[in-house]
Amino acid sequence: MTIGEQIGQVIISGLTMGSIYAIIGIGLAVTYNVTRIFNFCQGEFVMIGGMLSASFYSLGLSLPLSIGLAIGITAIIGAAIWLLFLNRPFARHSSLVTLILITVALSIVVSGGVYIGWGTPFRELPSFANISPIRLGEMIIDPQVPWIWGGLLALVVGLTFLFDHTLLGKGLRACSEQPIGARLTGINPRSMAFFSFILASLTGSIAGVLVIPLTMTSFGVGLGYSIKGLLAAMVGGITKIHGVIVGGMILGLVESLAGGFISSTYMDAAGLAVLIILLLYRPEGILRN
Amino acid sequence: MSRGQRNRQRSWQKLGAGVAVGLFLLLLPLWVSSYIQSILIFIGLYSMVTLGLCLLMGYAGQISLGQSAFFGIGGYTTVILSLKCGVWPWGSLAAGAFLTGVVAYVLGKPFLRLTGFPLAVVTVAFAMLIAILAGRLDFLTGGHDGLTNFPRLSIGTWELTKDFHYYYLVLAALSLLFLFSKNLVRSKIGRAMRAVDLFAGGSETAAQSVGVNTSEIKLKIFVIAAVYAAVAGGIYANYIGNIHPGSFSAWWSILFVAMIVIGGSGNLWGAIIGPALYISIRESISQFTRGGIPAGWESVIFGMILVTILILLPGGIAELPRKLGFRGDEGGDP
Repeated sequence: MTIGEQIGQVIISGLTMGSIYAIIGIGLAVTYNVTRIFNFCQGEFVMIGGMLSASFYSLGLSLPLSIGLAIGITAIIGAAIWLLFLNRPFARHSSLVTLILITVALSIVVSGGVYIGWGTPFRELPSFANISPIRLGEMIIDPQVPWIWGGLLALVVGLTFLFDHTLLGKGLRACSEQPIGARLTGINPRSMAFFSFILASLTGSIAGVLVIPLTMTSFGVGLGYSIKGLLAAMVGGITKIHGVIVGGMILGLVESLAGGFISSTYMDAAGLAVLIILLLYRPEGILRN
Repeated sequence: MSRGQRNRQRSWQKLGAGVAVGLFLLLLPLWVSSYIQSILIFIGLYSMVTLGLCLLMGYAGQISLGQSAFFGIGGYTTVILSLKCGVWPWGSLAAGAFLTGVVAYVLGKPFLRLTGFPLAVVTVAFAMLIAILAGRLDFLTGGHDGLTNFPRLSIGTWELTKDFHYYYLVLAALSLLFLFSKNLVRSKIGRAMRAVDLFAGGSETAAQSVGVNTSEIKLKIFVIAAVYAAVAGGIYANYIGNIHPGSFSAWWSILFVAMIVIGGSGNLWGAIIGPALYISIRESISQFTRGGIPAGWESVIFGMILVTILILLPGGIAELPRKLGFRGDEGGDP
């Protein structure tokens, strides 16, 4: 492989994991912007999406059906979490810290529940396109990669449409930018919070379903995804979607560069270290607002 | 009875209660099994970690999800020094605490420029980073399998191996740390901490306007909490006889915070109630899982209890007496 192709390979895989982190981060950002809650369950949504799709597929359901059911069920779980635990009257009196800790507690419950149901073995799913890896010169690209990029693109397009052209989306934006004004115009912040949670579980499970052909999944991966998604979102700037995407790509690229040119053992560590430093350097996000 | 007489009577009562409890704890190993002693040892060790966290969260109002990292750094340093450098185990323990303190100082400065959730994210990422490094730096830390067979704590030629040895060690260490913490809270530093405590209505700007050096206070408490965790980690490693990355993943940081939330961060006793409850639940459930019920239940049940307490008792169990109407150290007449 020429050095160009090596760099190309690294960049491609960096942008791929970056897309996954971006998708996870978008879910976190939407919830945060609308409700000011950082949802620690986000990583668990990713994990559940992956686990459910793998299980359905291994039961013999077709790939599209497995994926669709997985995403749908995760959305229901997200809705249930909101309705049962965060929508109570007490929630209006609780501090944000308490609500965040509730999502933490719920992530403990969820991963425990998955462990009960599925045990320890890793689960996997085949790539969406049943073709052999794509070759560009000497570079090898996993066939899942275009799906992941496509997924991010579709999500961004979908969300832009949602936010700019639908009443629901405008309601969500209103709540994030001007909560009091929003209530004065009749938008119910609790409904908006509810929808933002559903959006979060949708993005989480979509990310989970997209990434499982690449990396497999198991009951304990949720926390890692939550942390990385949070880091990516905050480093890029959690208030704007393009910030989150930039943050996700940075994380993906750093991991990939470390993996390609240092050693794959230090991939995660390098990514975390660099992003911690970036966040300390500019806590509001590196994109100037 | 005059108020003075009543207060004096209360002080005697407290002293009496304290002596009774103290005697009870000292004589406990005579009456209980090794298994119970080991449970108490774990409660004691985790309490040291949560004690530091209690000071940090409950009194200085800063969120840190990084205690597991300091627990691990302290533990690993102790083991590596004993194993690979032939350092006297007590010295390794002290060195582990010192080194962790230095690390906390160096990292604390940039970390604590953040507050609230960004601080939590940075500390939890740091915890994850340390756990990953511990698993990957094979040449130093023994990789995923960790380190074992290292020289352990001993007094003279008498090696500490039995449960009740460690019971007394942990009891002594915890008591010392607890007394130190109580003194700290009552001192000028303690008042400065509370001035900064966001949870209790303090305010950094207000504190700064009366001359409290807030960044210095936050950093001091951060380092103290780290050192508590490091001591606990070092003793833990010596007690278990090995150390490996699984003992201090980022999950543990979260669990420690969960323990202090359940116990109550407004009161130093909460730091002991939290771990006690966690370990009791864990052990009770593992009694059941021997019958074949899968082991995820302890997480589920612990998580649900945590949610319930967060909903009903945000101040933790330590808040319960106050809520029920008992008057504590406030002094004065009911």
